[in-house]
Amino acid sequence: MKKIVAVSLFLLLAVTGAFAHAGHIHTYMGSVTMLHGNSAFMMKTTDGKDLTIQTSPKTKWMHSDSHAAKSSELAVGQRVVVKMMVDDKTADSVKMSAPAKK
Amino acid sequence: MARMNWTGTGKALTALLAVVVVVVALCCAMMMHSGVSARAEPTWMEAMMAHSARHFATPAAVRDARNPVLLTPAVRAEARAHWADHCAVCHGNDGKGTSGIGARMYPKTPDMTLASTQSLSDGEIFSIIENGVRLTGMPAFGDGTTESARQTWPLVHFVRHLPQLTAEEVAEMEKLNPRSPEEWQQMQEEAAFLAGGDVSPTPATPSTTHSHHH
Repeated sequence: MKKIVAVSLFLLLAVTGAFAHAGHIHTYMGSVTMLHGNSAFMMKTTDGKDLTIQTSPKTKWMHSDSHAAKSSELAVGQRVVVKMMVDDKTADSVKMSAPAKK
Repeated sequence: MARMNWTGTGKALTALLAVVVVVVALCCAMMMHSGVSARAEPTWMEAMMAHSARHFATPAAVRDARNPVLLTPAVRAEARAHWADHCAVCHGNDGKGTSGIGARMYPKTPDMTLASTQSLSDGEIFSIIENGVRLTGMPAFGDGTTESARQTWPLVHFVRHLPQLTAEEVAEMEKLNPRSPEEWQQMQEEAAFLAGGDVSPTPATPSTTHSHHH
């Protein structure tokens, strides 16, 4: 009987317990090298890596002063700071510099 | 006759116990297979049981309470600042739960702009903030005093406002989010980079914060 109670309590805790820990959110800094429609763009990071950044309707677009921007304002050559969602697959926010001068 | 009834009851109890043992064994097998990772999503049954328990555990008088604080621009601004300072670390400034550490909790912080939160009564939202929710990451922010209630009711207004939150409000809140010295340094580096400055190719800040920098 004691074993059943112990196992039941353990299960209850295991199933409903809160085992939270801090996530790691990746931040990438670099320059836009290519645009792929409205859902992705490529960038070269400051340490020289080429990345494809996926975006979604939930992605927040901002100017460098943190005010709202539109995804359509993104252009090749612009500097960006990209913060990924915790799943590390989609951008949570993209902060962009002023458009690069041609 | 009495003996026959006892035998029938005994059989029923034995059958019930057998069912419980099988269910427990299945749960054990599932747990041993998938572990106790917080990355998992609660099952629909867990969610339903938790929501029902929370609903019934909220006294009717509290559940039916209306927000006694009149909503004014000043009240909303106070609540917005309060949220940015205390709540956003888990729920995110926008309340969607995708950018705070709550996205990795078990259960995950909900998207509070959706009906699952917005359909709660003022009293239920007040009770959750004030008393917390057991076995989740939601702490009790209140202590039952008039002063804590005075701070909580404006937050209920702010929760109602989350679906209409503007990007400008979020930008304003980002300035109020609590940050470690490393995070402040990272913010300054990002601002300098966006302004055209140079950045060292390796992470300038150690990975002691919740953010990895590339």
